[in-house]
Amino acid sequence: MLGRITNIQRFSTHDGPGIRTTVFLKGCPMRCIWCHNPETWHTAPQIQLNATRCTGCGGCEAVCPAGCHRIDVDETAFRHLYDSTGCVRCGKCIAACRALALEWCGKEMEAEEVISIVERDRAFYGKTGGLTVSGGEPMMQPAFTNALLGLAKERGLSTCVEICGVGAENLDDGLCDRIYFDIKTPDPALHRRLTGRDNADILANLRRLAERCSDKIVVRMVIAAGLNDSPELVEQLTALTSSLGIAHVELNPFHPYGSSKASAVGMKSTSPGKEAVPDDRALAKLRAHAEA
Amino acid sequence: MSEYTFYSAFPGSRPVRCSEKTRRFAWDSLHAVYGRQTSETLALESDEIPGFAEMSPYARYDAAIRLIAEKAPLRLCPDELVCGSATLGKAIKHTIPVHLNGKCFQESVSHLTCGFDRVLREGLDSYLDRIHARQAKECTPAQEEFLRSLENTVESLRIWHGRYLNLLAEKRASAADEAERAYYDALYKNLAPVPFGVPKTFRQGVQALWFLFAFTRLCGNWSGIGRIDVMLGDLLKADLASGEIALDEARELLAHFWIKGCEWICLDERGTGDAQHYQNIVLSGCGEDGKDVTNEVTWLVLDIVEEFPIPDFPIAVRVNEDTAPALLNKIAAVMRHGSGVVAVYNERLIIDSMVEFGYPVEEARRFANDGCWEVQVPGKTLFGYQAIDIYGQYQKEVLGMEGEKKDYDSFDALLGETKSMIARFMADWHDRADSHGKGGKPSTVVALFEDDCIEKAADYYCGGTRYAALSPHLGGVPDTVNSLLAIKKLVFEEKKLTFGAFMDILRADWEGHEELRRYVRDSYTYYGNDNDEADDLAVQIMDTFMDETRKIKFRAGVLRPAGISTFGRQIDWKDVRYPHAHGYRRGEILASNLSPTPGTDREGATAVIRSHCKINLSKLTCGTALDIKLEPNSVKGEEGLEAIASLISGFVVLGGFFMQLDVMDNAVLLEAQKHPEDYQNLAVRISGWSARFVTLNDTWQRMIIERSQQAGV
Repeated sequence: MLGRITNIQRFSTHDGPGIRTTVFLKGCPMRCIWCHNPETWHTAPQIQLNATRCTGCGGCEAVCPAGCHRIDVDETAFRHLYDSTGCVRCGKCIAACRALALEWCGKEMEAEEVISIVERDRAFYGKTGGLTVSGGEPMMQPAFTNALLGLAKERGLSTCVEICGVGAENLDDGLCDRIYFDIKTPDPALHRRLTGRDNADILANLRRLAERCSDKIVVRMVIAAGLNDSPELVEQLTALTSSLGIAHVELNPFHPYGSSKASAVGMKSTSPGKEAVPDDRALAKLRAHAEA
Repeated sequence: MSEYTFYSAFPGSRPVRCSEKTRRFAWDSLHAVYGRQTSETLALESDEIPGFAEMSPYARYDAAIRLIAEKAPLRLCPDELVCGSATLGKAIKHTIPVHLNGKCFQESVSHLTCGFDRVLREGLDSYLDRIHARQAKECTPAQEEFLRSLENTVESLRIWHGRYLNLLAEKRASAADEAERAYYDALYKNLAPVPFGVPKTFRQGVQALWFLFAFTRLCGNWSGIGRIDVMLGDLLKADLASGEIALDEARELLAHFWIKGCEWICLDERGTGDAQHYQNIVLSGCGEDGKDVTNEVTWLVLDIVEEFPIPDFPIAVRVNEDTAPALLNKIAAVMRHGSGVVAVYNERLIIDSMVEFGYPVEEARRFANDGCWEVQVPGKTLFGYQAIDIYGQYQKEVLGMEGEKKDYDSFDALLGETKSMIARFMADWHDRADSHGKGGKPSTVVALFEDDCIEKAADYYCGGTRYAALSPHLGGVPDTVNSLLAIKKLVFEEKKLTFGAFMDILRADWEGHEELRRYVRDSYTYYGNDNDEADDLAVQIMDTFMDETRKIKFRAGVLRPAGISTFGRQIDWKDVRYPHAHGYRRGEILASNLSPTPGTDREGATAVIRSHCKINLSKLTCGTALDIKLEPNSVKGEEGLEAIASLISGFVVLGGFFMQLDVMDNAVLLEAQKHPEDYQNLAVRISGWSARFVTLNDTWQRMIIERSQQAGV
């Protein structure tokens, strides 16, 4: 079975217990303004620029039929301006780049091929580590995700998924040891503002999953200062999780690195800047609040 | 809460277990209070010894040791719980600190771990009996002279011991109050019976071990300590059971051993790092009977280095597939603070390797180390290593960067010539190694603690020790492998240019070929990425080296275990290397030990470990190191702790040998360069040792910062 992969990250230490290999799938139904991985939004492969490798030769600019690349040169330096809006994904710029600064982001892979890479680090997984399927949104490719989880289980590997809740009704939760379920905010109006969509289906899916396996679920919420960091929201969240019998809630800080990832694939970043990174004390306070 | 905060990669997170007095002692010692005192008296003058310059080597050595015992300044640090200090500054420079015409008259000894364990079991007085028994047998004049020298060493130690006892008695007599009197009385009572008698309590054991170590250091020698938990574990167990000591008291006492171990820190000089006196300690693992020796001392030591960033005793924990998860987690917890204090050995691979090499299994199970990770049987081994720069040799001889230009019509021909070069080199090396351990300067102070020297009446460098080992230490293998891989791809597979044309580009340091350089650097997958094509070349090069070395395991009285190291030599080498086929320019950073060339490993720590472990390291009996550098973010939280423990487990399962893992934030290191005054106790792993970062010179600091970081996500 084929899946669309953004990349496979070995030695992942924050996507579940132990050492894990995280498979980032491509495609996401949400458009969270703070997205940490905007290069995973689109399902189709994109062209990615590694600006540190660019020599400013202009080869890409010369061959691009859509005018996506422009090299701005002044007396002392050059700048590679990349806007992928009209990109037709012809790949001519990649072929023309002799500095290897342009490459495809995203490719199709067989589930068996993916699992063979995951298996390479078996020695490091021990009893806790293993496969994490992340994204993007794994449930944009439910059959592939379930197939991957199944292959991992057949091989005795621990399995985690990181999902946003959209399409979660298709997740084979029996194949998951842990389900990281993102709640961007429990408040519907704010949810629409921050992610571009309603959260009714997400909350319904959380309820449904909790009825089946609340002990497997870890609810995660990204905290961005000034956007969703009020104690009231955290209270709403914990009221929801405790009503569903979900014991594990993690509040994780927003980080602004998504911005450079967006520009690498020629997209305008929607991410707030450093000012939205919650300071350690404020976050600790919210966490204490959540625990209370 | 404590007034003293010690560096951690996670600021403020070190546990506070010791008393405030002990923490202050640690703070002072780490901030060079005692190291600077030591530097006030650099050496003693031999003028006081009539005819010193004209004496025979042994007479001169003996007179110098006695002078040190009689005249070296004594030091009692405030509130210390363990007595004895190595107070002569030239000892820190690896010399016997006695001047003749303004210079130290002799170099001292390092790269060994003395058999202090035997003294703790038998008491030093029994050594005199052994010496006298040997004197009663037939001796050559040279043997008689050496046996007298051994007697002189024991008596000198007794003189130094007596001076400390007198000082403690004086302090006790002049104590201001009962508490002070009791304090000095306790110190006196711990020291009085040891190390001449057998220690009866844990306190005496710690004191005896420190005193022996301090005396060998005072005389300039840099010995390792060895398996401290094996030496002291039973004493502690008995004392805990009888109520003689509480666990907290035992930790406190042992912490003083550690704190005194950094009494040579000066912080005033910059070079290759200040904590480099080869004071190696090995923890855990199996005993001679194959049973696990882990005990309360193991845990206390780890407690201490979790609380204090004292890297002066580089600790290696012997781990195996059955190591308790709690111990792995404890090692991980210590590692995570940074400073590189703790490394791990894969003990079963090492023991099997030693047995296969020819050591009796009981001896192999006793293994400890010297200097960095060089495996040896402590208290029984004359050890030496010789550095071999294989990458330099390859560039000159195989690639033809010097002399006649070379050409190859296939990659197999190039690889074959590389292997032949290694074979030729090792054959020559074996001839040169025959003379190892066939005579040298008097070294009685360490010979006293080496098995068989007394019974053979032969000195450390003169065939006295049970084993004499000389290890060829190859360096530059990863760079050689990467160079071969780049040539294989570019010249012989893609046929983008001829071998000769490529070598001409290298001779010109890639001038005018920047695009090609980037292509070669960025589009090929090199050693360290779990890529079989690259890793297979590493396997082949290493097999050639190991097999050629193992053709002669023992000859002319010399064991020849193969090893790998660069330690820090890659820093000196990089300036004299030709430009690199793997896309690096002249002068760019080289690989350390058997770790990937910095910047070429892109797949994370697990891929690095897998690449490294594809090499059959069981044939590398002297050992090698894998350097892993993680950034704090990748190992934060419970998950991070678990990740470090899992890396160690994986390393063992895959057949690694020795792994030194450090956690550091490059941003902090850059800050420390700008404001060294704020980072006086920030230590980093260098190679087989750690050092305060601020005592590294610019070149070494840069090497640490540029070393690849395995980020983790």
